[in-house]
Amino acid sequence: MRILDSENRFSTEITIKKEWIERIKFETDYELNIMEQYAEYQYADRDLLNILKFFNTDIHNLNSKAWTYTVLKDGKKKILPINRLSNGERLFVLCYMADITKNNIIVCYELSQLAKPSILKFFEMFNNSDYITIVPPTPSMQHLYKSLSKGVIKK
Amino acid sequence: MIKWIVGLNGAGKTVFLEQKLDSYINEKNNVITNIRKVKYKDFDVKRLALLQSEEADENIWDYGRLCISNNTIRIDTDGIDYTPEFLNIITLLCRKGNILMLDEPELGLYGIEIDLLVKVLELLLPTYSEGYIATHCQELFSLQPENFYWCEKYKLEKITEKKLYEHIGQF
Repeated sequence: MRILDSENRFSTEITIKKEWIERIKFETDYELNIMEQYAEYQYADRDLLNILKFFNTDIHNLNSKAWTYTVLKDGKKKILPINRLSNGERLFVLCYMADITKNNIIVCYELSQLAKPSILKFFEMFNNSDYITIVPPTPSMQHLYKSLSKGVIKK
Repeated sequence: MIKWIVGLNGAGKTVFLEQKLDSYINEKNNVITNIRKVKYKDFDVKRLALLQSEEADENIWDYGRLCISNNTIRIDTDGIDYTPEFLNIITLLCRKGNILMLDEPELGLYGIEIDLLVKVLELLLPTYSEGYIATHCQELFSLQPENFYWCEKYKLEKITEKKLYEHIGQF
């Protein structure tokens, strides 16, 4: 995983790229292309479901053909579109799909929404990825993430 | 009084807020929110006056001037380009309405803007009768730190500040 300086979020060179995902909403052509490629992957549903269960144990089904997921709330099943996932969940899902399909992505804003356990999980999953670039949204996050990446901060 | 809605990712904070918003709308309350795309027309005169006061000019805007252009707040300051996200949230905070309901107001703000948001909220929070703010931003917690509510499975439980940091952990 590449970690750029936080000021790059204002850089035209970065933000003009198709890989720059301003907000992860699963709606740009680039995101949709990654999703299309990922849906062909043999363990698509199983793997994404495992990732989502880290966040929310109420999610118990994911359909990468229809791009919906099922939650169990108050004993009732509810099917929701993938873009109803939380910011943190969307970040993990897109990064995982990009990594599996070998598509480069640059993410930024959703990083500010991760709680500590999620940040640690993010590094555990993507620190060695060749396809994920992050632009920490603030200078303090930049220092934290660079330190985590180098193992300076103990998990 | 503001309630800070805190919890791990995917715990249901936004879902809780959406349900709460619907109940307030049904009771015909005036809600200021960023959970849905709402078109607001009017500003609250009292809130605008607070943010245009000499004290705010000096302590928040660093002698810049807050003005309204095209139904959006603009801040004229030498050398600082505020992000549209920051101007949008400041604009929203000054709208007419007695209940404030925000989901991750810090999203997209730069470090200095988060500091300014804390100062703005410090001034404006007493002007809302009730409020809910879901956030991961620990800078904001310094405001009314006695009102933390832990969200899990779409339900809230009041917790102390000490308990909060036990739950979320710190680097």
